Amino acid sequence: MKFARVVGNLVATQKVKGLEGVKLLMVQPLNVDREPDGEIYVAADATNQAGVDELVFVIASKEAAFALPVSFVPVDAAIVGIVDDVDDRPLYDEQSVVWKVFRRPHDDDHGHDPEPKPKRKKKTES
Amino acid sequence: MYIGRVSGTVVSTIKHPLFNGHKLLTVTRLDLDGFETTVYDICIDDVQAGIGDVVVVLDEGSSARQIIGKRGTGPARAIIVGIVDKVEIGK
Repeated sequence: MKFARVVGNLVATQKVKGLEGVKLLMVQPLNVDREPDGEIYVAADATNQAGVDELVFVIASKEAAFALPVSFVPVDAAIVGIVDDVDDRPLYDEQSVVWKVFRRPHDDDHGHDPEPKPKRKKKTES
Repeated sequence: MYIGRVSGTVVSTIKHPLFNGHKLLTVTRLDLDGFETTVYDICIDDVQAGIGDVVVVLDEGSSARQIIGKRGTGPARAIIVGIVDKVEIGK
């Protein structure tokens, strides 16, 4: 699932059987920082409550059709939720976790590391 | 499956009923040196991961639905299946 911003409505009177009553919206895909990233596309609205300017999350591929009332319909993107808030505050020194996980065995053998690691904070002596 | 880093929590009230009771986290994919790429996914969390954790993400629909106990149809695809302690590549 990816973030997207609803930018418009789409009206179609002649639709495939099974898509009747399904709202179609134009959405702008966003990156993880909620900035526009890529071309605007059409997504079916499985929540039935999304409107223009709302931040939503969109599921792609076969699972998009599963979100709709009729499961086997020709849909490849569906809005499955409206985002209230995204909490991406760092809880701790997140980079140090990544470096701990990806440290190679030979990093310990040599005197220096190929990439600089973020230094850990020294404990203050009382 | 791929390795990623949890970068945020998604709060949503109006959502598909399948997601009720499940935490949604944004996961940024990491390359094999541990650097972030631009690829990300909003994943269901089943292992109590937190922001900053390096995790394994399963990006396959029917397996994800099996894990959350909703066999059959449902709009679930990406799911966090493990927290990575260490990755060793090469010697």
